Amino acid sequence: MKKCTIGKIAVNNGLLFLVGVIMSFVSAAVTIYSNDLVAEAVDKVMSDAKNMNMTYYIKAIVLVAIIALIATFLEGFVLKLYSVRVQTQYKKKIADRIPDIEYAYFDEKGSGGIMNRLISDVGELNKLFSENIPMMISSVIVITAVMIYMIALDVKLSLVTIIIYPILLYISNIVSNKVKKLVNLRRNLLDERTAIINDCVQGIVVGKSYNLEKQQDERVGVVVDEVFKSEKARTSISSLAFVLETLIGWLPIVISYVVALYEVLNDSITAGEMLAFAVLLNIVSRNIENIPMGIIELKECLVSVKRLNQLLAAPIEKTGTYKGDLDTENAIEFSNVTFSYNQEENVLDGIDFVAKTATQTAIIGTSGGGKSTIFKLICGFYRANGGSYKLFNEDFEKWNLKSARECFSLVSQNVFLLPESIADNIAYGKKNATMDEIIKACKNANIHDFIMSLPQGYDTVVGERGVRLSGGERQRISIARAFLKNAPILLLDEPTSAIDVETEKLIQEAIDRISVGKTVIIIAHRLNTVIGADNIYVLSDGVIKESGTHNELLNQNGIYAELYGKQLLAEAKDMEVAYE
Amino acid sequence: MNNKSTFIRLMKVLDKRLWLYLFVVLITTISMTVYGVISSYLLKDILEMAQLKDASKLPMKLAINVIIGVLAVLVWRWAIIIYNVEAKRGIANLEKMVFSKAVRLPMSYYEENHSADFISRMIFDTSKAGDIFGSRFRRLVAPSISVVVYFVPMMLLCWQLTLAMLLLSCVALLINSLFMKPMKKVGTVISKENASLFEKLTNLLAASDVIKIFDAGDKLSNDYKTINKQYTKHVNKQNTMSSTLQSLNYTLEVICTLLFLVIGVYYLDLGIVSIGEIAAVYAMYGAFNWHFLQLGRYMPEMTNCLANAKRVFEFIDQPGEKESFLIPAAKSDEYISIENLDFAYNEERQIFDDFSMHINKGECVALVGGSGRGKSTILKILLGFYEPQAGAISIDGKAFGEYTLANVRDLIAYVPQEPYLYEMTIAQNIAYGKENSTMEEIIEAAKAAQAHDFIVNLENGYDTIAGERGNRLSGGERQRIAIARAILKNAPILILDEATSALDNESEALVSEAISHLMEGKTTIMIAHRPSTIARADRVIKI
Repeated sequence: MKKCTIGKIAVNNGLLFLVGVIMSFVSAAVTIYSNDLVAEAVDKVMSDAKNMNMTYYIKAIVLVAIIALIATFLEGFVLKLYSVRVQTQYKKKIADRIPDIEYAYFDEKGSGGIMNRLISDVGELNKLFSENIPMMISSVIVITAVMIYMIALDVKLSLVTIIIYPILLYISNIVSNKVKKLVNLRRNLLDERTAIINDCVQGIVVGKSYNLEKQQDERVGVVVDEVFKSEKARTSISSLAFVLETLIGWLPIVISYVVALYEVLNDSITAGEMLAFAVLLNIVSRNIENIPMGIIELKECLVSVKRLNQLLAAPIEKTGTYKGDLDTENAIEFSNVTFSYNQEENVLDGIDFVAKTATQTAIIGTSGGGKSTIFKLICGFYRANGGSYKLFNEDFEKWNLKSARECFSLVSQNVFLLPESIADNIAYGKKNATMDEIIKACKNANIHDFIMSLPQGYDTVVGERGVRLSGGERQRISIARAFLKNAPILLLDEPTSAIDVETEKLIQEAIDRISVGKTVIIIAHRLNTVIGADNIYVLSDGVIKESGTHNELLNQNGIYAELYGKQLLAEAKDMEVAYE
Repeated sequence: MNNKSTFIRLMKVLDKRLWLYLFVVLITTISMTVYGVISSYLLKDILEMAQLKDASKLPMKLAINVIIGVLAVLVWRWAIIIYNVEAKRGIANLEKMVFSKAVRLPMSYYEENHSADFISRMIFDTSKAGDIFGSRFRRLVAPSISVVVYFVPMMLLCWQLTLAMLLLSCVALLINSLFMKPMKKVGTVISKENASLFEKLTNLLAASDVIKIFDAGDKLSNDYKTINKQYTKHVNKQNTMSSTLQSLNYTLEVICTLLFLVIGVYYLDLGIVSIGEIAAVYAMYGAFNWHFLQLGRYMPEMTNCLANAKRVFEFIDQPGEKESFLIPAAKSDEYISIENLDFAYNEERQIFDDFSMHINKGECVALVGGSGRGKSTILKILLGFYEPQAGAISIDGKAFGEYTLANVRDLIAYVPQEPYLYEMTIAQNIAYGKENSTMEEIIEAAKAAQAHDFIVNLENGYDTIAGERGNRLSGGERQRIAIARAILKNAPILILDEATSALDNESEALVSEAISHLMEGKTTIMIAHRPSTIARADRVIKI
């Protein structure tokens, strides 16, 4: 896998950049040339006014004006085009890469940090390529071109300039390092600020029902004020730097004038040449002033570039090459699997279970016991720390990840719906699904009638995370997706735990339909759902404590039996309750 | 809102510091310009000495110029620090205004707007608008002031030359303003596409499991790339315009040199001016025109930032959540009375049509019915999240309309279907239940919610960060923390939306017990689907 960085992208488009640089040089040459003409003219006037050939000068400057027009346009246009190309290519790369990045990467960093990174860093990337770099190029080239001219004019005079300016840059470098630390601090504070805002908005229901507005204002206010404080320190240092630079930058000019005066008195240069020199020196001075500020900005932008490169280098899911035979006795086999998030305590501490093909396997246990984690391992979102996981008799690590995932349909507790139409959301189940296929899947999932009851039917757009739909409706859409995908293994994560009895019937019906001929693994804590399973595993404290069919487990008189007993009691109450 | 009013409003964000801010902008500019003029005068003096071949006055002239120059720069530093501080203060003010609005919008806003659009708008636009304080304003104003400060000595030295050059600078300005409108138009389109880009990018990030299981990566990244293509097209258009403008400006500068040549030499010939005077004018004109060019360059950018500021103000201006709803009192006098309620979300399905419900004080009522029939909706209406189109509601004898929404919410503790935990410690999450709660109170509430035991077993106990959307905790654990929060609030009305359905039998039993205790003396409305939960209610209402 070739490592891609923004630097590489920048270099790949180097030709365009080069053209821009050349145009920049031409612009600088134009500046120098026109000043040179003026100097020549002034000298002529002072010595031999009568024979001034004005038309020559006019022709020359008209020619120069035309070249300037073309060159500066190209300079600006080409460098901006370059900037756009680099950014577009970067964006394409991350768009292509993100789907393949390891699941754990987003879990850890938290998407608030990533979002702020993308929003402001991409902005910084833009600033870097469309403002900072062209400005630096232009300044550097002007300075170089003018210096060459000045040296050709008078070496002694130029020496003064050449000596002082590197000292300037050296000092500014020291200061910019100090500023960099403050810049990083600010970046982190901005990350935090965005994460807090995200947090407040996502939790708005809690925020409103507990009247937390004032507290949230404070929470945001604290971090905004911290950003402000860090700015104060930064300003103090960078302004001092600027003062030093300005005064040190003026010194050569003053000295140059004095030296130039003496050169004229010595007849080494003419008054006109001195004038040209003075003007060009000012141009150099102005451009050199840009450099330290430009370097500071550059360093800021490079911090962003570094972070963007990190995103490009984010670990990609590992995949093998096996694309196998699905016709084996065991669909999924876990042997002594251990797992913990981030080296914390083991969530799974040596799990053994087998899901035989075309059977129903249930895993039950207390909430927080690690059941959802098992599904994450099955789907390859995380990799086990120890033990082995076999899919259709082949080590999961050896499988081609995409092929492996084609085997699964996941119907989970937190159903994520994209901000698109219902039809589009369901269509994710199968590429290029036709409307007929979608409708059929929805009918099977017992959600078709509900969808048709909406004024825009299948074209109804669902809000972020499907806010407008009830839990049961979202579950059924998730099941419709699974129908469409028609994968051999169905993973059901607590499918009926947040649903009313009526909907539960609809969902159970849908599940029964889709389970035909498939390997089903269901996680639940409601034993109703699992009584009919071919094999039930009881998960507790990170290990499988009991296993067997419903009757076998009852006979074991252990955890399962106890839980079942409690359930029976609750169900007895069910029979007594009659509701209107 | 046009540009001018947006700008004025933006400046007002600086509040009392506005005059200080404007003052230091003025000072920074003048001091820097004085420094520039001094440099030109030094040149003039030197050239005159060169022409006359007489360097006797050099020490004195040198001393005066250098001292004034250094003073000017020191004054500049003093002013620029104040400038930056006030600018950042202004930005902080703006940010607080925006963020404060972000949490006070009506509930329908959050459900209709994608949160990435929201956040992208806030951060991007606020920072662009803030850029105006931090640099754009000064970069626009400073040249204007500098130009005037240079103009005076230039006129004094050789007004004919100065006027001719001024004319050309005006032509440049005209060209710049011609470009302003079309650039702004493109700028607005680009902003919108930018927001759309981030929505697509957010999808890519947030839908991780859907992408991986359903192999949706290609589609989502193509969505993003398609919009990016459009975006790029428009940015290129904008760049063409700005490059054209830049080159026109530059060419005019070159033409100026021609003018200087022709006119300057003519007057020199006539003996009206000295070479030193012309040189000084020419040197100052360099700076003069450079600032004019700055004007040209930063105007479109200022305009673009004002477009962002406009969006920021539109956001701030939009109606926030109402303070209270105009709902009259119900006729019957039960503790919670709802009569003749009509409600529909926007133009979509009508949820309630002449619906009535009465709940007595201290009663526990279970709401049942098929999904999507309105059970959650009635709770949302009671919480003031949505305003019914018609109907009467009373709580504790008072009309709903007599309470502010905040008051109503103080009376109700709500535990939603999918409890949200903030990215803060568990203790802080629970503490949100009651302002200024003590650790003892928090622990007591956690114990009652049967959450204390598992919390204490976590590595950092109560200081454990609940993580993004409470990721590391199971559904049941999150529920119990949310319940602890509600317990701490100790409000007279309890609303539970399928609160115990996500728990396994073990925890459910424990929590049920806790809730039973809690319900004593309180009025409870619960949405539950499980008959065993429903059994705990005094009464059942079918919706």
